Amino acid sequence: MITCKSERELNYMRDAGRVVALTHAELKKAVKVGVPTRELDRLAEEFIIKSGAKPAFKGLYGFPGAICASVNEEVVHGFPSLRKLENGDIISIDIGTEINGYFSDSAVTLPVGDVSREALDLMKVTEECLYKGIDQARDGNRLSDISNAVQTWAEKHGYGVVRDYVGHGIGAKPHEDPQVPNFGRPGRGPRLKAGMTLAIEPMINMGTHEVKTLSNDWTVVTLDKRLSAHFEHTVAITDDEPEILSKT
Amino acid sequence: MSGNAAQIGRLVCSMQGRDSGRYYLVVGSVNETRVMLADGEVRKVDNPKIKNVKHLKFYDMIAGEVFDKAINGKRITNVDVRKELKSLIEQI
Repeated sequence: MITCKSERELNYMRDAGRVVALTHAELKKAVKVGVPTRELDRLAEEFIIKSGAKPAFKGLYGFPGAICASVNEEVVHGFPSLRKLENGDIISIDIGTEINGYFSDSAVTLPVGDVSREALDLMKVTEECLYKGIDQARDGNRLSDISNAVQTWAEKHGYGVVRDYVGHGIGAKPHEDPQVPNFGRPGRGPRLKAGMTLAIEPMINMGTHEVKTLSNDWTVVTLDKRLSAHFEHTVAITDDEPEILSKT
Repeated sequence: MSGNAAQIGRLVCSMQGRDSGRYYLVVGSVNETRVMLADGEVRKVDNPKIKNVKHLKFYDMIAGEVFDKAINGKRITNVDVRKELKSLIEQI
């Protein structure tokens, strides 16, 4: 069941979203060659708690970190670990926070040192996909208008759109209805209404859209081992323009 | 953190088991790895087949009406499933 949030609920989500955005800004400064992803996780958890929020991912369905840290061919749900970032890597950092029982969720992909032109292009187009999707998150549109906007832009550039993992509703729980696929024909699914809150998150691969899950049962990687990028925002449908809640 | 995509209404084909080669729509999920499937004929909505996602081929097609009803808490009927399944299979 898709819920519409009250202004009070949206305010809690804005607060949680602000913390997510500030945490991303802190980690962006810390992402450097030689830094273990576990260190990024420690910094994030510390910062989130210091900001008066809770790290939403820690322990969620058994996930071990406060952030998902997915490097290179890792699509999503990478475990923070002792793995040190290397020059030319790209890292997707996904952060969730909770304030007063309400959640916000956002992801970015960052370059480490000098990255290839190919990788930069992938990151740029994936972020553009996110904003193409957000632009369709309007009262009166259908859910798959978001999905179709993402898919169309990614495939126009020759990239693969991950099918097996999707965006989602968000609010009083980190994952709510509806699922928000990044593919599909427009004009399908539920009609969007003011007050709905969605985590829109294109996961775009340089090659095939196919992925597999590693033996840790969490980390998803591209089947062809090529790079993947991931951008996400928590967005509220309004009577007017879509509102990004996961920003400062 | 992204959600798993056992999207309600998604077209799948069984790749393993006695029903290998049979098409279904996803009508629910048991957990991260097992989904509920119906075709509206052999497997009705109120008696769905439960299969591991590893044994299914997922198509990039979603039955809009089934998805819509499930998300809005309305009852999915076998007629819905049959009608939409037929239309999606024709598009493969």
